[in-house]
Amino acid sequence: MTGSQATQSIHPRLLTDEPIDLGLFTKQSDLRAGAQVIFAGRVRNHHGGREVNHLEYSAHQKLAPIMISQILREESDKLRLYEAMAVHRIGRVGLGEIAVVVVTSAAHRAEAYEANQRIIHRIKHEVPIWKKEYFADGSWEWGTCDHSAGPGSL
Amino acid sequence: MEIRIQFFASLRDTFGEWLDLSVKEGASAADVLTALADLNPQAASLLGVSCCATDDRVLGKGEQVPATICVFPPMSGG
Repeated sequence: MTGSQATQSIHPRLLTDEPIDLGLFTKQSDLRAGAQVIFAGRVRNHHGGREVNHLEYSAHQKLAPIMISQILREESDKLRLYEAMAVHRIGRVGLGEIAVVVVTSAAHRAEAYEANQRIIHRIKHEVPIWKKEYFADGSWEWGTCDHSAGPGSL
Repeated sequence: MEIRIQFFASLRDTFGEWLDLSVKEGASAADVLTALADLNPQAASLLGVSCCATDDRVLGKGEQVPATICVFPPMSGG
């Protein structure tokens, strides 16, 4: 990473098979940051009119962390973030549990919000992680990404 | 030349986790995806939106593939 204004720390565990504790992300270590945005994506109980039982995430466990780190670096440089972190769950994730967290800190809220939206969008579309949806009726299917919702539509 | 392919997600359901495939010398990522579609025409549409990668980066469609690659369908994390 480059640029004197962008001092970034990345959570060492970018993929985890353990429940994610949001409390770990609320500490703000860089006093230059006046805005911190914390996004938590949780497993909802419905999809396409069907009742969801749980999700199961798999990943390319070498490439996915590399790509998440790269995305965090690029967006940090672009929007002059002071902090950018992201963690994604793998394995079985139950209803209401957190599947992914993105944290961005910047001097002002506009940059922190924009960067957070860009990072979660890129993680969903670029990082080799896949979800399998298990439904209440016992069936399952591989999840699909909504490619109509690009950053420009946010 | 012989390459080893590791599949992920839904493509693993179709091809299994590993497949040894014979491709022409200097084959590109696009060539590999085409060869896989020839092998299993039912997977052709999914392969058309899939990509090849190594353990540290995604390969461009025109890039020559190394001896071991992975192939995966569109991502659906988040």
